[in-house]
Formats: sequence, C-alpha cells, structure tokens
Amino acid sequence: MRWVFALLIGLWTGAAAAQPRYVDVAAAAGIEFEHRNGAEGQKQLPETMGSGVAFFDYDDDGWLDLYWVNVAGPAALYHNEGNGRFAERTQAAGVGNSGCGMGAVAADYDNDGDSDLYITCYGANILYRNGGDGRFADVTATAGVGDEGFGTGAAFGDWDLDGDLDLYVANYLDFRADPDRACFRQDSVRVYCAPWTYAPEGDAFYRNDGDRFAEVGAEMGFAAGRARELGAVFSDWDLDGDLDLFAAGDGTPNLLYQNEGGHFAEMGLIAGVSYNSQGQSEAGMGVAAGDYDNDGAFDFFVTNFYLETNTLYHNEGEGFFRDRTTDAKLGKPSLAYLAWGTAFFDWDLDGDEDLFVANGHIDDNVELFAETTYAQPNQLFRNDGAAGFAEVSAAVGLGAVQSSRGMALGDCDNDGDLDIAVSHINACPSLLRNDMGGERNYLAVRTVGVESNRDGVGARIRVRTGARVQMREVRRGGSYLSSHDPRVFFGLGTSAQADEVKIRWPSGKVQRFEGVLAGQVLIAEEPR
Amino acid sequence: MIRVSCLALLLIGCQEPEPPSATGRAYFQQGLEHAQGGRFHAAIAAYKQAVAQMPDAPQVHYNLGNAYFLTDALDQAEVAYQKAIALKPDYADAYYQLGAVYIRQKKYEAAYAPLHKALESAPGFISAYNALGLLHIRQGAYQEAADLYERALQVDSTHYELWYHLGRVYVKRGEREAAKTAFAEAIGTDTTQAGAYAGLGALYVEERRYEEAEDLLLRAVALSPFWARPHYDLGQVYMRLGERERGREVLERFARLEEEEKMIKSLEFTLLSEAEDARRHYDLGVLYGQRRQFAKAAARYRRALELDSTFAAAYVNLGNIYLRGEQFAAAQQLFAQALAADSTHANAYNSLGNLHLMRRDFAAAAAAFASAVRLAPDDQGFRENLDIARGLEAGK
Repeated sequence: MRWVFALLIGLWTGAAAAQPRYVDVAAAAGIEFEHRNGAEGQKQLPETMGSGVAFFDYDDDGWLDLYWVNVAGPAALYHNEGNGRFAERTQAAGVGNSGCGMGAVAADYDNDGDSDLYITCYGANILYRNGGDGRFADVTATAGVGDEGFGTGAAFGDWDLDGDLDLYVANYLDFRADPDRACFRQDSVRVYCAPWTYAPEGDAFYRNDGDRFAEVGAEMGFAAGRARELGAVFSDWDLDGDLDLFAAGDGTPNLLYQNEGGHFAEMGLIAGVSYNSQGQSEAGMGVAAGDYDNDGAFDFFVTNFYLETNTLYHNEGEGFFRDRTTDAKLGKPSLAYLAWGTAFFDWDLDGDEDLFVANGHIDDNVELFAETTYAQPNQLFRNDGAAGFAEVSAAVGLGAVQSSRGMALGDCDNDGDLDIAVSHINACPSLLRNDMGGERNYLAVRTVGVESNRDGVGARIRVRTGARVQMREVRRGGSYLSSHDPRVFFGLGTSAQADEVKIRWPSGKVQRFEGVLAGQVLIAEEPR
Repeated sequence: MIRVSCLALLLIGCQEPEPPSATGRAYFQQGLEHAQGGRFHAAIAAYKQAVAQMPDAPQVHYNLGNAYFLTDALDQAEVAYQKAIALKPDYADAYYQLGAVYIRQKKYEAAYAPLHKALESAPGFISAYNALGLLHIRQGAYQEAADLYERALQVDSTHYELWYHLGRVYVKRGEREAAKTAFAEAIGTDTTQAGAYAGLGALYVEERRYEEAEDLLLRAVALSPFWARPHYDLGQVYMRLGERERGREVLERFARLEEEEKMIKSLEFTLLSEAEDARRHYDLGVLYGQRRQFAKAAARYRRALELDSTFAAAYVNLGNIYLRGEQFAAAQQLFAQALAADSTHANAYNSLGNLHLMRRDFAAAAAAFASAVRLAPDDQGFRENLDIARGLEAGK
C-alpha cells in the first residue's frame, strides 16, 4: 500500500473571518472573461442556455485552473498563478474555440497523467488532448467524438471497467428543425419558444477503445430522443461496483440508466426519479449526486424551472428513490427561481453535504409578462444534519443577482474549503472564494488509478470520523454543463484526523488508510 | 350566507339573469342561448349588442367577460369584468372571474386583489376561498393557504374541495397527520372524488403501508381513470410489493397519461397566444376526447370549425360526439359537412356507417363502410365494420 501526502498551506486568504462567507474575487483575481450569448433579438433558444465552467489543473502544478465556455465569443483558459491571481492562457494553450460552446468536462481520457478537455457545443463537440506541455491539440476527428447535436451535459466514466474513461454526451433538442419559429407572450411580447415545442434529440454514448472512441449508444440501450437532456452524471447509485448514469430531462422524464454489465436499462420511472412526488416531469436542468444524509447511498438532486421546486430524490435502497424535497425543506425556497448549476458539497466542513444552486431566468424580458426577474440570486442551503436544509444565501454573501447558469466547485486557493465558479449569461463570471477561516478541518483525496482509469473515476471513498461515515465518489461531469475539482473533499468538523479512509476502486480493489491527519490532500494511488 | 360560484369553465349555467332593459333583452337572451349551446363567439356578438344597448348593466358586461374568458380572449375578458366592477363595486362574481383571468395569464400577484375583493363582497364565497388558496399554494405560501382553508371551513365544513386542498397544503408543509385527517374529512364529504383518495394513498405510500395505499389508490384510479397522478403512486406500490410486472404496467400507463396531460397543458397555453389556430384547437379536442371529456372536446372542435369551415376531421369528431349521445340528426349533418369539405375522407364514411348501424339501417351502413374501404383499403377496422354491416344486412 502506498500513500503520499501533499501538505498544503493556504496562501491566499489571509482572511480569518469568524462567519463563513463567500467573496467574489473574479475581478481581483484577474479573470476578465465575459460571456456572450450572441442574442440579436431573434430569440433563438440556444441563446438562453448559457455555458459551463470547468475547474481542472491542466499543468499539474497543484493549483486549479479555470476554463470558461462561451457561446458567441471565445472560451477562456485561466491559469492559476498560485498567488490569488489567474493569467489568461487561452491562445497559448490552444483551447480558444468560439463555436457556440455549451459545456466542458475535464478528465484524463488517455490515461497519460494529465487532464484533457471535452467541450459540448450547439454543433460539433470538441475534444482537446492535453500534450503535457501546456498546450492542447484538437483531436476530435481522430478520436471520433465530434457529435454534432445540441450538446449539453457530458460526463466521463469507465462504465465497462476496462481501465479507460468512456464518455456520455447529453443532447438537448432538435432546434435546427425550426430555428425561425417566433413565440410571443401576451400577444406581442417576443419570447424564446418553450423547449417542449421541439423534439428531443438523441444522445451519444462513446466507448473508449484506446486510440479512438466508438459511439455505442443504441447497442448499449440508450434509446434515441427519449428526453431533452441537460445535466448528466455518472454514479454507482446501486452500489454494485459499476457506474450508472443519471440525466435530467427538460419537460421530459429524468432518465436513470442502470448498468447491467454490457448493457444499460432505463429505470427512472420504476426507481422513482423520473417524476416528482406529484407524478410530474419537470424542467430538469442541472444534476447533483451525493449522500447528503450520510446513510451510505447516493441521492440525486435536480434543478428545475421557476414555480417548480428543485427536486431531491432520496435513495431508499432496494432500487427505489423517493422525492424528499418537502421533508428536506428545499421546496418552497426554490419556487421563485429558475435553477441551473448545482452541487452537493460540504461548504462549512461540518461533516455533511450542503447544496449550492445557481439561478437565472431564460427570458431577458421576463419582467414584462411574469412576476419574476431575469437576474436572480444564487442559493446556498446548509445541511442541518437531520436530513433537512436551511437557506443561508444572504448570510454568506450571495446577495448579488445575475442570470447564472453553469457552476463548478473547486478549492482554487488550496485552503481546504470549496470555492465556487459561476458562469453568468452576457456578463463576467463570479469566482466565489470560501473564507471559512480554517475553523474546521478538512481532508481531500486525489485518486490515482493504476489498474483502474488513471483519474480513479468511479472510485467510492468512505471517510469515518468517530461514528460518522461520509461517502463520496470520484466523478467527472455534473452540475449544469460543468466540471468540478477532480479531488474529493470531506469536512471533518473539529476532528484532527479521519479514523479511516476506505477506497473501493473501479477495479474492485479496496484500499484502507487509518488515522489520516486532517488538513491535507491525500494522494491515493491504487494498490498494484 | 354560504355562496358557491361555479368555476369559469362551467359558467354556462351561471349566467346572470336578464338585465332590466327591454331593448337589450333580446340580445342578452340570445347571448345566453348561444353560451348555453357552447357557441361562445356567437354569444360574444350578441352580448356586445346588448352592451351597446345597455352600457350601464353590470351583468351584461359580466356575461360578455365570461364568453371572452371561455374563448381564451383573456385581455377582453379582463376589460369586461373591470367594467362590470366599475358599475357594481361589490360584484363578487366579477372580482372572482377577474382573478381567474389573471391566474390564467400567470399574473399571480395581480390575482390576489380581486379575489380578496370577492371575499370582502361575499364572505361566504367558497370558490373565491378556493382560488385564493390555490394561488397561495402555487406561490409556496403554505401557511397563508392553510389559514385560508381553515377559515373557509368555518363557513362550510362540508365542502370537499376545501378539505382536499387543505390536505394538500399540509402535505406541502410536511404535516402528514394533519394531511391524513383533512383527506379523510374530504372523503367523508364526497366519496366520488378521486383527489382525496389519491392524497391519502400517497401518504400511506410514504409510510410504507402499501396494502392500505393500494386500496385507496385503486379507488382513485377507478374514479378518475385518466388522471396520471394516482397511477404513479399505485405503480410505486406494486413495485415495492414486489409485483414488478403489474407495477410496470401501471407506471407505463401513468407515463402515457402524464404525457397527455402535459400536451393538454401545452396546447392550452399555446392557444392563449395563438387562439386562431384551428389545428391546435382540433388537437386539443382529440386529447380531451381520448380522456372522455366530450363537452370540452366538442367545444374545441366547434372552435376549430369556426376558424376553418373546411376542417373535415373536426366535423367527423364532433359528429362522433353527437353520435355517442344518440343525436343522430346532428351527427349526420356533421358527417355530411365533412364529406362536403373533403369527399375522400374515409373516416367520415366510416362514422356515417356507424350512425346507420346504430339506426339499424344496415344497407346504408354497408354502403357507407364500403366507401370508407374503397378510400382506405388497408384499414382493417373499416373492413371489419363492412363485414358486420353486410352480415347484419344478410341476416335481416
């Protein structure tokens, strides 16, 4: 058994605030990226989508970099200088595509030890292979992953357990069938046509065959055009050792593909995640997977439309979920907002996962015909430790309003708490620095696969402190069109150590660490 | 005084009585008759004439508003109700309908004021309580909704809707025991409504009392076979009881019904802004018909035909609704109109054949089915009908 500790020192904050707060440091950090949706008054639906953001360490220097996707302008790669500043390296790195970008997901698909980047687009998607020298090469054509649909969420996962990462690409709807359709409210107010007026578009499921990918969706059981999909995440929700897939449907049922070893079966309706407790399909946007109640099973959270609640699907075991939105007190606070990016994470490092939601309406003129606003505040919900949540948005400094879309988590200042990157439509983004102030302890785990895929995607990590057991999973993709920190973070509260860290690798190997000190990134290499 | 107003969609029987003007009376009466016959555009024309004759009669404006409302002309309905209110400031029904307009326009905040005014004007106005409560629920104001329903129940404790929606509010608030009590009370007031059975059944599902839930949900499904929601919970019950095949069947039915409900909502919403689209009215009529909501289907077919008098399929479907009610003459006229609009419409001949069959005119039925088969030779149903008619004709 081999374990390596990387001890980290918080270099940035200096702010030891007693009250945990988020501070938007994007501008101060030198991030000048500006999102553009290309709207020219014709109200074309792709303009409403916004874009995603990816946290990843492309040069493997130990500091998380940022990639901002753009719709009608160039995307931007910002290198984390490690001193609180980011430097733009888009052109130098060769990742400045400007073609209707939607989402981004970073993963080491070729197992060469560095993070590659996949971009979904309204149009042909792009795969950038990291050359390991600070430059990327567009290998879309040779890799065979340039799906030309209305690409939205994408997720990497080794579903066939052969040691390399496969790729799922969610597609949204067939906008090209009628791009010039005009829709109105109150007779004369031009608005974006509703998604339900367009047919769902088929998705792409790529098997990694080493030197290239093969699209195997149909033979794997992915029916074409089943849902207008947005967020997608791989998670082994049934804990059988292989990755399943959950995808949010916009006005269509959410889909839960259960991996049956060589084939996927859609189980959403039967498992109880396709509809809310009222038996209604909602406007699924972003997705999060996590064990928010520390009961040893992964739950799902889906963000939805204004006047719908976001929906929490609690994993009840035995193949069933239940809509626990109301019980968890997440219903009412979400009614007033149209929600997108989301993630479970332990914001306050107290040992249970909290929840972030990025909000913003689709219609930039919504004030003319509805009692809401285009720009909306983002929300943070604190886990009360009793399977419920309480909104703390204002108290932690999330009062600013924008029309937000993608969001990703990452500890970009390496102080052990999770910061948040949020992409806003037609605006500069936010980088919300978490100023926890070091009052609570953390443990991060970075998995390095050997027999399993190099990133260790799909590894299930359990951390025990006293009687509390927290469970996480290494993932690539999720939220809304975005990609989180590749490391996995645990809040340890006041515990100085984790009593046990147990990792179940995709290969089936189980690795244990005991008495792991808090305040570090545990680099866990898969046992040979 | 307890006051119960009918909902806007059932307004036909709720028109106000005659206004006190001899000159306008005929127009007003015409309007009433058209509205009662579901001819709302003709009713609008008549009411407008009545308004011209009696501009100061609030009930004429009110009825005009209702006719506009029922044709989805919500902006005009709003104006008409406001005129009625200006003429009669304590006009509770007009306030109520004005609130209904705002709700359908999704102007929820604006809907509060007229609904409150309706209650001020008529403190026993149960429907206004109900609408206001639903508004609170939609906005997530569950405490306000609960207070309101509890207040309304002091006015009338035997009102099903009040108990049912109070139960829903308690569910939203996570107060399961109170919700169970409210649903049980609702069932006690009316055993023919599916909602409370479904609500109570869903709560039992939550408590893993699957057998009891099954019983309640089966009742809900029997009472409301085209309502998706109880099918969902019932399917979940069967899955959890290990009856997977049965569960899968029920859940698949649920998914179909839910899709239909979604299409209906989508079409209804689209028609608010594209009210002149005959095809969408027809499509909505088909969906209503599939769910056996024949009155609503007929209204949509009529509207489609007002917009497009050559819409053969709409004539046929409307005729089939009359045929169900054994209104043979009206049905026959509609089938004839369908064939006048499109002489190649095989289904019109088939429907005509059915009509003749029901009238036991087997020779005429066989001739009509033969025409249908000639136009659509691959249609097995038409062929079977022809065989039946010929057999009956031969054995006569």
